[in-house]
Amino acid sequence: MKNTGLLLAFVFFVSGLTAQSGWTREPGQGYVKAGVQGFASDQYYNLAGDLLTTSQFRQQAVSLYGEYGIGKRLTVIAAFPLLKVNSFETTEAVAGIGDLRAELKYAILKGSFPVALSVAPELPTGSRNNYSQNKTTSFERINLPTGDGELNVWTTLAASHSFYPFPAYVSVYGSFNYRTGFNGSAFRNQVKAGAEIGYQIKGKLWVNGRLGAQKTLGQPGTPVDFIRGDGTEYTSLGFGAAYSITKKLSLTLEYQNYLDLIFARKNLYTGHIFSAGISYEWKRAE
Amino acid sequence: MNRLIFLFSAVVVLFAACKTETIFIDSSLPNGTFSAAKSGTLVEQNGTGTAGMVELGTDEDDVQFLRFGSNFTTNLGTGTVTVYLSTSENFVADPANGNPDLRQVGPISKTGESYFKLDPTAAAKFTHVILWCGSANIPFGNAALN
Repeated sequence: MKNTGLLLAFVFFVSGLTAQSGWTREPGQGYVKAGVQGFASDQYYNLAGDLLTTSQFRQQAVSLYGEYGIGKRLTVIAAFPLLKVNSFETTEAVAGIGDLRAELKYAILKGSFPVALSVAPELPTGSRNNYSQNKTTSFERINLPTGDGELNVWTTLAASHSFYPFPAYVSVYGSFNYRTGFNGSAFRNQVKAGAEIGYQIKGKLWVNGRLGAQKTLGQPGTPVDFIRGDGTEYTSLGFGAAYSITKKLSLTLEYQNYLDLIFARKNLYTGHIFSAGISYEWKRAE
Repeated sequence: MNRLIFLFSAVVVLFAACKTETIFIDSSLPNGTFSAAKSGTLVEQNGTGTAGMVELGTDEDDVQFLRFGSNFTTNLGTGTVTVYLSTSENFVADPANGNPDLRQVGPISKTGESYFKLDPTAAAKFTHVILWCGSANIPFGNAALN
């Protein structure tokens, strides 16, 4: 995976809409979340940034996400798309697991202004080629992989601040995605930055807003492997809510879309991404 | 016994006399020299790496072919790329009326040189070659035939 929004730009995969923060988990503390996501769009920005209307692309995903504190300053994080179902309106659906993201997060600063550095390799566990048969033309098929086939590594520096006792926080982050390639194609590296603000309502409901932007570095090769996200750029805007059912259990809802505010959309299907999930958090190993 | 040997020998001689060399003719390829009547250079669309020359012409039997040159490239890792003849550089589908502005030639499976036999011969109204991804409905490239 390469984007936290749509994984592969043309073949696009909705992955976890998880944000980056400066906080880490204390030893024995943990958080897990299971979610479902849905996306459909016929609006595709090509590598030049031109908007095309195509057949509608659809994706549904089921994902798992977890964090666990393994030391005073170290947290391990994993994000795994258990299932991705991809199709165009013109084709049969194809499914597979996605790419596993394993992250090690180190707390550089703790306290009221936490800063953390994380390194997150994304392993090519997903289906690298996944051909979907056209419904009407027997010889037509299209490759809708659920993984990009490469090992890439995200390195992220994030900082946060809580305004406690005022129930609000802010986080900012910057990331570098070192990409390798697949099947002879070298993928270009990417940078991403973003910010998130959150506010708690009546002790039960957290709401947040996010802004992110991604840029591709370097000159394109020939041809560009656009179905694996090479050349993908965008500005993303998202909103989320988490409602506490109990002290440990919460329901989550998230929404994300794309715009041209900081970096214009390129090599990207754009549209509404909705996700819902249930999360469980514990303060010590139980 | 001698009669049997004679009979067997006669059969062998008979089969040897009837043996002929088998020559396979691939009717999808031009017979003899291919002569181009029109040609064009592919223009890339949507970052697909499409490039190379296409030619419309005939072989020594006057059978028409569309030829992709040895310098032809496109991104075939995305799935099927289908070749069309078109009356313009734009893919204008009109299935209700039999797609008068398009003629489907076939899927292209490799980069480099390829031939597509055109039977019946292409109408003169077709002035362009289009490479098209039918599942996503996006163009990969086109060439004007001049």
